[in-house]
Formats: sequence, C-alpha cells, structure tokens
Amino acid sequence: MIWDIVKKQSILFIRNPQQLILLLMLPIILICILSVSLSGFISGETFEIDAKIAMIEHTDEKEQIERFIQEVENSKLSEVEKKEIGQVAKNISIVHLLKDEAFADMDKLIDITMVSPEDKATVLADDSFAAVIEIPKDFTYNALNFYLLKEGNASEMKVYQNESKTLQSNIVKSIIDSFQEQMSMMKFTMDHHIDPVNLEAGDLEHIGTVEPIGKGNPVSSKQYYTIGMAVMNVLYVATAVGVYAFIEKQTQVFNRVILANVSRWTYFSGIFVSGVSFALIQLLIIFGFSWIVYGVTWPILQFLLVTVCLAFAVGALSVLLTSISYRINSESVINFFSNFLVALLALLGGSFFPIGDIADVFQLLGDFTPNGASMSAYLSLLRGDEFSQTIPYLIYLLLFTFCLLLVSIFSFPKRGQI
Amino acid sequence: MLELVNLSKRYKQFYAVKNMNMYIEKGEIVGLLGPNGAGKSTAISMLSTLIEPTEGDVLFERRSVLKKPVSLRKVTGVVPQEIALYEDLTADENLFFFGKIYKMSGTNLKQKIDDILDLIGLTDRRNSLVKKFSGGMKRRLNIGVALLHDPELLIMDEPTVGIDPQSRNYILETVKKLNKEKGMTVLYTSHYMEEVEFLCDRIYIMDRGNLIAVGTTEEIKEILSSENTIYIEAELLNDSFITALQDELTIKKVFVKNETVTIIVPKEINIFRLVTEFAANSNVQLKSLSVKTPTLEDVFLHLTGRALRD
Repeated sequence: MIWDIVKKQSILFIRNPQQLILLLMLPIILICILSVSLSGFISGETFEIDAKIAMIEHTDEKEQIERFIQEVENSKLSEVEKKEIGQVAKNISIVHLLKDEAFADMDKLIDITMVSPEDKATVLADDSFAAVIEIPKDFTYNALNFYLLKEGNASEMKVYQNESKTLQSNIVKSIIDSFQEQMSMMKFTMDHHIDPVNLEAGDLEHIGTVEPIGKGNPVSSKQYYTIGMAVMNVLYVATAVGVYAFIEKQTQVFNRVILANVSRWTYFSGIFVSGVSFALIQLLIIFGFSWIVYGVTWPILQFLLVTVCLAFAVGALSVLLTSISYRINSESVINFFSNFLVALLALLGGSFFPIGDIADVFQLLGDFTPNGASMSAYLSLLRGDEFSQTIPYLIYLLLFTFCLLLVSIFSFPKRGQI
Repeated sequence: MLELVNLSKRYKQFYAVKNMNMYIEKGEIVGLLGPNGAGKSTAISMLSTLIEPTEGDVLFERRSVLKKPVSLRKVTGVVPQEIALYEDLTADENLFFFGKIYKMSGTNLKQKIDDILDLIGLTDRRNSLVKKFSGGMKRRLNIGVALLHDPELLIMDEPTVGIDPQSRNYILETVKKLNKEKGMTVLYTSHYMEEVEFLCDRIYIMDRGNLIAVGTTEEIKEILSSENTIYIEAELLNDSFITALQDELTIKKVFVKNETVTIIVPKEINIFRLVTEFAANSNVQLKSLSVKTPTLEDVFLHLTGRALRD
C-alpha cells in the first residue's frame, strides 16, 4: 500500500515539469552562480582576479645600491658604521622586496611585467593592465640615504590605476600601501634603535598565537555551495509533498483512501516514505551534478549516511506540513514554510555564507536546523575530519525526525475533525 | 440494511443535521433531496462513516458502525460531490491506484478496470490524462472509482452537478442499470427533483438540517393532493397585486419569480375570479393562468417556502 502511494506520488511529480525544474534545476543553477559570485566568502579558495600590472623602473636598483655603498665607503663615517650600513644596504633592495616578496603570495593571480621607461605611454594606454607602478629615478638610492643616513627625502612610487579594472587595481594599490607602511615602520625602528624582529615578536605575544581555523582540507566555494544549495532546496521537497497531500484532502481523494479502510497511519507512512525518497533522489542528483561538473567527491559511506539522515528529516517535515494543513484545513502553513521559513532556515543553516563565522550563537542556531546540521556534517566530511565529529549531527537529524513525526501524529485530526 | 437513528451533527451552536431518522432497504434507490446547504453532504459523510455524529447512531445490518466502521466501508462505494481523482493521472492509472488501495491486484484488478471503463463508456479514453477530460467524463470516472470493489451500497452525492444533459442521462441510466442488473442499493443525493423522480423508489426531503418529508414520489406528491398549484404569468407585475394575493386568506402561499407568480390554494376554492379582479385593480395585465400537476419542486416549495435551486 505504502509503495502504491509512493509510486502514485512519483508519477504526479514526474508529470509536473514546473515542480521538477524548481526542485532540480534551481539548486543546480544556484550552485553555478553562487560558487563563482560568492567565492570570496569561502576560505580555502582565492579570488580569481587575474590582474596584470606593469612596473617601470627608471634606474637599475643594483647600480643604486652599489653607488650608495661606494659613497658610504668614501664618507667620513667610522669603519664599523661603514661596514654595518653597507651590510644593511645590501639587504634593502626595495624594488626587489616589492616585486618578489610583497607580491609573492599572489604570483598566481598577479602577473608583473617589467617595462622600460620609454614604453610608459604605451602601457598606460594598454587597457589590459590593471595598474602601472612607476619607480622614480634613484628611488632606492634616495631611500637608503633617507633611512640609513637620514639625508634628503625618500621618493615615492606612483601607482596608475586602471578605472575599468577597479577590483584588481585597488588590490594592487592596497598591497603597495601596505608595503610602504612596512617601510615606514622599518624607518621608525631604525631611528629608535629597535630591532624590528623584537617589535614583531612583542606584538604577536600580545595578541596570542595565530592558527588556521580549520586544520583539515580547505573547502572550496563550489563544494560549499553544492552543500548549501542542496540542503536548502531539499526542504522544498517537503513543501511539494505537503501540497500534493493537501490537494488530496481538498478533492476528497483522502476520503476515498480512508473509505477503502486504509488507516491514516498507512497514508502517513506513504507521505513520509515519499518525502524521504524524493529528498534522497534530489540530493543524489544535485551531488551527482557537482561530482561530474565540479569534481566534488566524498567519502562515500559517510556521505550516504548523512544524506539518508537528512532525507529522513525532510520526510518528517513533509508529514508535519501535511498534518498541520489537514488540521487547520488550509494550505497557508505550507506556503508560509515555503515562502519564508525555508529562506530563514537556509540563512541560519549557512547555505548562503558561513553565518557561524559572524558569531558562535549563529553557528549554534544553525546547527539546530536540519539543513544546518546536515551542512555541518557534510562540511566536516569534506574537511576530512574524523567521522566521530559527524555523528552528533546525524543523531540530531534522527532526533529531529522522531520529534516531528511525534508532533505530526498528535496534530493530525481525528475522524470527524477532517 | 442501513439505518440512521436520531442522527445530528452540530458545529458549535449550528446544527448541520438535526435528529435525522432514515432507513435504506437492500436493493432500493433512495433519494435525498434538498437545496444547497440543506445538510445532505453532512448526512452522507456521517452515514458513510467519514465524520462522527454529535448525537445518534448509524446501524448497518442492525449493528452500530460508529466505532467499527470497517464492515460498512467494505460494502460501500461513495461518489463524492467533488471530482476526487488525480488530474495528472490517466483514467487507467486512477482506477489502478484506487483498486490497489482496495487491495485488488493482478488480473482481477485489470479485468475490473476493463469492466468499469466499459460501464462508464471511457474505454477509448483510458490512457488520457483526467485533466483533459470533459466535466461529464470526469463525473463518470468519479463514479467508476466508487464501483471498483463491487459495493453493495452506492452513495452518490450530487453526481451530476455541472455536466451536460447527455452525460447526465448516461449517469442516470448507469445508476438504473446497476440497481436492476446487480441489485445495487443506491442512496442518491441531488437538488434536481427530476433526477430523483426518475430514479428513486423512496425520497427523503431535507431542508436546513431537518428531514421535512419522507415517502415514495406519489406519497410525497399526495401532500399537495388537497391543494392546487396555480401559475400566473403577467405583465407589469407590481407590489399592489402581490400584496392583494398575499392578503387573500384563501391563498395559502404566494411565490414570485421574474414575471411568474405561483400560488397554492385549496382545491375547492375557485380563485380565478379573485385573481382577475386583483389584476384589474392593480393595472396588471394577465398573460396566462394555469393549474399544474404538483411536482416534487412544488412540494418543496409548499413545505419550505423556497425553491429547490434558490
């Protein structure tokens, strides 16, 4: 009997293309859009900014440093000072530091092209460059005089930003600003005879140790939004099943079922199994898509366990929505769930962004939603955590299922109230 | 076979059905006649064990079925007023699903589906989606589903609402056939008196939750045997003419609809002279005056002061 109810529901689902598109295509489209557009929210994945910048150096830095050391050698300073300054000067290759150190972490994102001063006009006109950094004549030489001998003024680098590439050029600008701040800091430490290493160590001691948030594998935006959209959209399965069930009441098909001496608990079980089955199928299709297109893979057994537990929770939600709509004799509770509660649950559960990063209380609240708990479980699997860390979420999902079924049983109207 | 004893259904202070007593004998077609809102559907829901009465009892084969409805449900087929079908399933799939819930299967179910489709004239449309059916076809399938498990008692709640005359005739003939050939007992609810007159051996008339008349068609019409129903067609009908009729003590009831006035008067009274006199005094031009054989509609009008389809 239960199988006949599920089979009939399946045919109704298949014959409703609008519903199918909503349940299957929408999450897939959202995964594609969000995983690209909101990738910045997710740790473990870099911006794909792909910036190209040009660097114009008017005087060769090596020659400037040699010239500075030569002048120090010829000065009236003591031999000890000459040796010390000469040693430091060799290590302060500002342009080299900027090019090979400051941009070092972003070498995959920022492509630096060295350009001769004669080509300045050409690169400024070239729209493919996000920014042009111009290092003036004797920049390093002046900087060494200023920092080490306190003579003259330090020259400033010029950054030409391409307004049509705001994001990339702003990133370049901020890197240069940060680099210049570090240079100023260096000057300050030298002026006050502070060892910069000590200053840094002191600061670190003050704020405590810094460790990466997750010690496991980083989660990419594609992985994150595959989970986020799957656990959110699977909730719509509950509303779809609930709507079909309510139509059965409205059209008196439910009465026909009851008159055929089918117990309402059998009918209930049919709704539950339908909800579980459709949720399972939807989740497997979405995760299957993500596996084929984005290569998102899982430890299969644990993944199936989480998916089944989530499907159980969705089945229980289907029954609850059916039960309440039968009791109040209105579809409004299903509409409210579909139009408002799903979005709220998705937000709390972290489907749109890791809301738990804002405050622990959000993480806690999120983990109390079925989608949030399953999301945490899936993320834990992706990070490669021990499976034992996933078990509490699974237990919660099963408890959630049990409680919802219990409430549904008590809220379902008795004969004569329908 | 089936008996309703002092059956009532109360919603807060409102009685949808009040102290209803009724019996249905095996093999007869019983009509339950009444306007919309009379309480027919509530009565049917109670006797088919879908809702529990506030007071009273439903006896099937002299046993109460209120607590143990299984025995009655097994032998009852209910045709609800609504089209209780899946619009996105074909006729065949609908019958298959409902057959399954009646625990039928295999060749038995297939044969039964063939028979039902043949009976309701939908064999050639068996693979069409119900949503593509006409109103009449849906009504026929609605009946077909109720016949799947060979019920002894068929309860039909306004099965011909909103369909074309051809489909209506088909349904009425089918009900007659089922009763004659299979001895099926039928409780037929309608507000179309001509359907009830055509089909039913006995009739119950309901209004506002109460049974107001019971008997065979002839017995009920006898209610009007001592009275004549006179139809007056007139032009320039006005209030003074109507008031004059209403004030006349020998006229028992006056009903006005469009340009027709219906009056009920005792048979021994010759009212024609008075009517023409009232018309002349009120400047009303009479077009016709006729005495008609009473119909169930007239009986209902007589008993309730309202038309069946008001």
